Parts: sequence; structure tokens; C-alpha cells
Amino acid sequence: MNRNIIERIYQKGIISKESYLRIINWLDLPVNIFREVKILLYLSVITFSYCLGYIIYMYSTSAGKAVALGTFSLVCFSTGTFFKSKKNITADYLILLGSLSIISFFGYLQFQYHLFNGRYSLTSFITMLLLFAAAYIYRNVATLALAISNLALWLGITVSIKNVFIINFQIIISGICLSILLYLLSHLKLHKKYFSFTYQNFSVNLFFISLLSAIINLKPEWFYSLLLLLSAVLVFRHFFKIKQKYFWVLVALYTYFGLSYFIVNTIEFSGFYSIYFIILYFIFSLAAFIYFIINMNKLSNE
Amino acid sequence: MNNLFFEKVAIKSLLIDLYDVGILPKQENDNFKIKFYSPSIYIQIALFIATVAGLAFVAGFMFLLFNFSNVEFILAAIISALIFFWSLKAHHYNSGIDNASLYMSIAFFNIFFAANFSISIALISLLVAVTCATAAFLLKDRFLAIAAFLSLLYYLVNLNLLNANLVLLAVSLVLFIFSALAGRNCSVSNDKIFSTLKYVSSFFAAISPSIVFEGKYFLYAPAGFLPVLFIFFAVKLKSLLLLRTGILALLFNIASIIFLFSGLKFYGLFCLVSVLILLLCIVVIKILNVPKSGFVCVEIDEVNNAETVTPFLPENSAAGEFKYGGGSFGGGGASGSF
Repeated sequence: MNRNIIERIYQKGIISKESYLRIINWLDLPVNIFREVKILLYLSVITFSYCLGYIIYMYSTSAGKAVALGTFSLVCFSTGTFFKSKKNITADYLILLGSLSIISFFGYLQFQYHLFNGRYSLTSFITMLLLFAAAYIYRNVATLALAISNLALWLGITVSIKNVFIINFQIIISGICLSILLYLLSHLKLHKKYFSFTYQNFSVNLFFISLLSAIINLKPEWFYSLLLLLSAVLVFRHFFKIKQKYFWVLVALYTYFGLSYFIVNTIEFSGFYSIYFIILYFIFSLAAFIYFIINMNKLSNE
Repeated sequence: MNNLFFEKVAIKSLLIDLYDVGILPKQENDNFKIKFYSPSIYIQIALFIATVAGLAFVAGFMFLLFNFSNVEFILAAIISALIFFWSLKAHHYNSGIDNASLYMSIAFFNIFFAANFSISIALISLLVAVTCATAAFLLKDRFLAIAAFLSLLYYLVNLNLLNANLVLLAVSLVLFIFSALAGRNCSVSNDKIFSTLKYVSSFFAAISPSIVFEGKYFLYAPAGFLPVLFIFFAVKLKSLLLLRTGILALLFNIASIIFLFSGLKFYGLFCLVSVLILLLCIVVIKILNVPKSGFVCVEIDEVNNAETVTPFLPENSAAGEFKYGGGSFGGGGASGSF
């Protein structure tokens, strides 16, 4: 922060002399580099995991390397436990590294040695159990996110740019059921403080992505659009009531996208003027969307 | 354009930041009143996306009306500018609508020139640099300042006067010195622009030598160590700016080496490097548990620990909570209410 600016706003009488001296005093305090160290920790964990994964994928052929990977994962967890007892921030990152190594370890065993004779779901199931155990033992949010992703994978749900719109009825239903289950889990007293947001975040995203996929892939589209609208109203009201802005904005965005897709895709257009209609629809609906968000935000702040 | 509005909002943001860290009394923060609408980040993102999409469809509608005659770009620019000025009139400040409409109007304006006049890409980048710089300083936008710098860099590199990487280094250094000098006595609203420019220019200065030796590992590796020097001097000079840009440049170099080179030895090397960084962080956390050489490394929630902060604490913490220097500043304080 610029000292000259502080001096100038003091001279203008915006802040008192006492506050001015306090701020100048504050500027002389030691600089806290906690955030920078956290970024470096995260970077080192991600880089290590990425490079190790690549080495295993490209070059590893011996069982010794799998043993080394498993041992490394154990070392991460044990050192993580040690640092956790000392209340050191590094513990969370070591546990995350250990969790990522567990995934690589089981993936490697399945890929190289066909551990469960082609039953890939069993690999993801065991990994998921271990990750859930690690997340709860160490109260680690990042590990919980990995565990939930593995749970979804075990149920056959994968979300990527390539396959988000190519999924069948069973997967969509699994997605919806899983999202409801995750939402219920978020209310368990056991982890309300630590994991509630992570569960809710996965739940809301998965629920609306499943419904959007249903609108795009399944028939009748009107039914799924109606389902999207009704559930959006319920979820929106709930999060609006508890003043969770992130979630109600997310719901609004998903609903707008889903309903717009339905309107543009299902109404039969003919001739050149249909393109005018679509463009005008988007211009006016987006203006309405902006108006809606601003007003809801105002109401939410009251 | 209301310069006074931007200045007042910048002062208010500063006061909110100071209040949030607990060194400004509530009363002094409340005494300085300015009406502006700056919602929370999620609302900002939603409004930004909706405005950009809406203005893109407006441009599409113009295309249909004027049958691709290029006049649609200038019309779309005018409409975007009108929305921007309307949002300013409604006291919007970083609401998502004002940013999006400003960026879109500048983009449409430059596309209009590029589409209508047969000028080279270099000249277009100069035009972008001029328009972005003008808008950045008139309308106090940090993102546009970065865009102006990058466009200017592109223009200078395209002139082929010197080695492109030397141009990168020279421009970065000149801009850094300019920002440092100009930032000394600037207004509150310009301060954030100059500090952003300082960050961007020092980052480019740190990475430029490694870009010179792109693809030649044995030359690249020593040049890639410049960020380490930045970090060293950051510690020496107690500069958070050098520390941050050093870390960012280090990340850039690691990512670019992974991208440029492949093979077991490189990936093995990075595994080793990441373990070393991890160990270094553990040591830093251990050593800087208490303030040392002007630095400290403690979790924000733990800063009330009296033993740690007593020697440096202001006499009374205004909001009952206290945070260490550095790190917290840079973002505009959002006033939730409007």
C-alpha cells in the first residue's frame, strides 16, 4: 500500500490522526507470506503428482515401482499425521499428495497387472473407500473432493468436455440420486463444519448437470425441462433463504441455460425470420436475467 | 466520465480494506459515504457472463440488420458504450455489467477498424494498446492496463527492430520504472493501476531471459533461475511484489519446461524439485512461525496469537480482529448494500 496515499487521505481529514498513525504502524509490520507459501505447497503437490503419474504411465513396467508408489503414499500419510499433530499447515498438502498417490497406485495396479480381472469399478470402489477414510480421519476437504469424484466414477458418472452430452438414462438417474444423497450427507452433524460446503457444491452441480444432460439427450424434453424448472425453484428458494449466494447464482445460470436450450431446440423454426427470433429471444432474456439477478441480490442483502 | 466518482470509490474501497483488517474504526469508515453498487464475486461473474453474451447477441442482430457491411461493429460498440455509461450513472463499480460493457465496446471498436481498413496486425495491436491505455486511465480499469501493455509489447515485437526477447525485457523494465515513479504521487484511483503494471512488468522482466533460450535446455535452465534471484532479493529488500512475481515466474518456467521438454529425466527432475519445494515450505513455516527479517508466515485465523504479534501490534485493534501486513490488499472492497 502506498504511504503517500494514506498521508493524503489523512490530510484531507478522511481519517483521524490516531487511525493514520495506526495504519503507518501497521505498514511497518512483518509481511505475512502465508498465502504465497500455500501456493508453493499446492504447486509442489500438483507438479509432483503430475510428473509421477506421467513417469508411471510412460516408463514403469516393474512391480518394484508399484511397491515404491504404495510406500510413498504411506510415507505421505504418516508424515501428514505427524505434522497434523503439530498443527502445521503442511499436513493438509502431504495428505493430499498421499491421496493422489493412492489413486495412481491403484490405477497402476489395475492398468499393469489387471488386479481385479478387468473389474474397473472395484478399483474405483476400493480407492473411494480409502479416500473417504482419509478425508474423515484427517478432516481434509481436498481428499473428500477426490473421494466424491471416485464415488461418482464408481457409479459410472464421468464429466468431461467430450462426454458430458453423451450419456444414457441410467447414468442420469444415478447422477440425480447421487446428488440427492450428497445433499443429505451435507446435513450430517458429524462433519457439518468442515465438509458441508464440499458436499453441497458437488450435489448442486451434479444435479443440474444431470438434468441438463437429460434435456439434451432424453425424450420428452418438455418433461425434463419442467423438472428442471420445478427443482430450480425449490433449490433456489432454499439457498436464497439461507443466503448462500454462490448456490442460488449457480442454480439461476443452470436453469437459464437449460430452458434456453429447450426453447431454441424444441420450437420449430422455419424460414429466415426464425434466426431473428432466436437472437431477440437471447437479447431480451439475458436482459431479464440481469434484472432478476440484481433484484435478487438486493433482496438477499436486505 | 466522472473522475470524482472513481476517486471517491477508490478511497472508499481503501477504507473498507483497512476496516476489514481491523485498523480503522467503524465510525471513520461509515463517515465517508459514497453510493456505489459492487456486488459479491458470484453475482459479478453471473452479471459479467450475461452482459457479454447479451452484447454478443446484439452484435449478431446488427449483422442481420446491416447484412455484414462492417457498420454493425461500430453500432455494437456504441450500444456497449451506452450501456457502460448507463451503468456508471447507476453507480455501478465492478458490478460485472460495467466491466463487460466497457471491454465489449473497446473490442467492437477495434474490430471495426481492423475490418474496415486494411491495416497490418502490428498497427491494430498499437490501436488496441492506445484505446486500452486511454480507457484504463480514464475509467480506472486494471484489466485494460494489462491489455494495453500486452498489445504494446506485441506491436514492438512485430517491428522487428531488435531481438523480440530483448524488446520484452527492455519494455518491461521501462514500464516498471515508469510505474514505480508515477505511482509515488498518483491519485488513489490510479494507484491500483500502477501497482498492477508494476506486477505485470516485473513478471515479464523475470521470465524474458528464459524465453530467449526457448528449446535450448542448457541455456534455458540457468536463465530460468532468474525468478530465484527475484525471491532472494525479495527477502533482502522485504518486497512482497518481488516475492510474488518471483513465485509466479517460477511457476511459469516450470510449466514451460514441462511443455517444451519431455522425457524421463525431466519428469524425474521435477519430482525432485517439487519435493525440494515442499521441504523448503516446511522449513519456512517452521522458521517464520515468529516474525523474522520483516517476514512472518502464520495462518490468518491465528494472528491474534498475542505472543506472536505483541511486539508489532498497533495499540488497539479497531474491529477486534487483526491481520498482518501485505496480502490482503489489491481488491476493491465490495459494499454489499446499495
